[in-house]
Amino acid sequence: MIEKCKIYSTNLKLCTMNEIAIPPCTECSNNNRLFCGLTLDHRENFSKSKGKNVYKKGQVIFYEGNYPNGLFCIFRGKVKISKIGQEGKEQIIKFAGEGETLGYRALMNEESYNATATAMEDCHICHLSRNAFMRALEANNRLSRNMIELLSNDLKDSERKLMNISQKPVKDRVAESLLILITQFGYKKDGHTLDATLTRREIGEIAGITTETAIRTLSEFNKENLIRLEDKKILILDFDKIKHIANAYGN
Amino acid sequence: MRHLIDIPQLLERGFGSFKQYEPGDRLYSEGDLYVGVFFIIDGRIQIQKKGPSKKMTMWFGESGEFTGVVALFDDQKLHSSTAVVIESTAQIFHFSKKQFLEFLNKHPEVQKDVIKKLCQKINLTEMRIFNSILHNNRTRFIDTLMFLSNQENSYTNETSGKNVVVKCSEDTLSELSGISKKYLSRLLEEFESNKLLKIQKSQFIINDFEEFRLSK
Repeated sequence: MIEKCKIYSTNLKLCTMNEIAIPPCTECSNNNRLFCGLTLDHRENFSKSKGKNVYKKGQVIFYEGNYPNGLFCIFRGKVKISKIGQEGKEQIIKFAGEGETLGYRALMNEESYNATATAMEDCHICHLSRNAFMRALEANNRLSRNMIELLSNDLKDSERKLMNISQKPVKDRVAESLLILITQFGYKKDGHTLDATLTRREIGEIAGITTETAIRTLSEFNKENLIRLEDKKILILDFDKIKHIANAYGN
Repeated sequence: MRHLIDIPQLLERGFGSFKQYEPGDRLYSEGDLYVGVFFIIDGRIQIQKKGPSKKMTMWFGESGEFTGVVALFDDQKLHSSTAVVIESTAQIFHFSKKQFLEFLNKHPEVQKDVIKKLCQKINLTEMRIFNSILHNNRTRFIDTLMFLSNQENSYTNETSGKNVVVKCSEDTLSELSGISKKYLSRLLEEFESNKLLKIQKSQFIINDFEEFRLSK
């Protein structure tokens, strides 16, 4: 079933497009961890109250400091979650892709967003209002349990990242960042090229290092034939070696 | 949260178990087989993880909080951190995994509280990540104390006018902010002499929250 979706262009002019098909929640094949195991009735209720939007590459889905009015579920596309530091320096916290949910932590903790979510490519995103979601959460133990599990995994990931940034050598951190990108985005059809276009600065942000250090380390990996750099593309040549470097301390 | 959990009633039903732990005792260790969820009736625990070069404190568990929730959903059924009792004797109530999930199902208010606490722990961890990369020691110190004061005072409602009380030792503040104890002492001296902060045993009083925030 083809659904009409709202698209917000860069100057916020609302227009419609017929070619994007976002199915109802009952037919969605994305494996969204938050809604996993819910009954068809519950999914149907979500479908009735959700909005569907398209965000063009570079558009902001929500801003750090704003208050949430619902949840965002990524149907298609990739999103970057980042914070701005004191001197305007951006720090990427994580990436999110198909089947992932955004904005739930601010909603659950009744606070403003502590990061900004930006579309890295054209994204098709469903929006579930705060009221609809909170009603469902109160009525559904499975949904609450899924939320606890999701947050538990997020905490584990954050703790691992804190540990890495505090104690792991730079090379290991860059290797781990490459693994994160491979897991998050996968490869293009050739089976080697990372299916994401990232600047050296962005790779540096993921690893928690300066751009200069990221450039230097990636060049080393290039010389060692672990990767091949072609402009912004990264070809993974020796996945096992990269994994070995990333897990050098058993993390 | 303590008022939501009727320990005597649970024990009477044969649900869970109660134990007292001394400072230094471990509730569980990183890599151990999962043993369940622990509720801190009274006391304080330190959650640590092993790093490449040394142990690192992740966060502190206070009275009224659960620990062991994160590993509840671990595929390998192992604890991902170590929980150590610190400062004084702790009274702990233990749920097995099955008991905890059953308990959660019957108590939506507890679910909400567990969710909120997890969010706060993630926020704290992300703040530390962010600070360690982008900020200098002074900013880290201020951000950490402000973060702790927001959490602490939402629990205790101790904010009185502009003054804000943060129950935290210097050691804890040093660990969470990633600043050495020596440098932290210098900062505390500076802030105390500028009357932005009052230092008491195991707590700090921020004299004027707004002014403190602006002193970055």
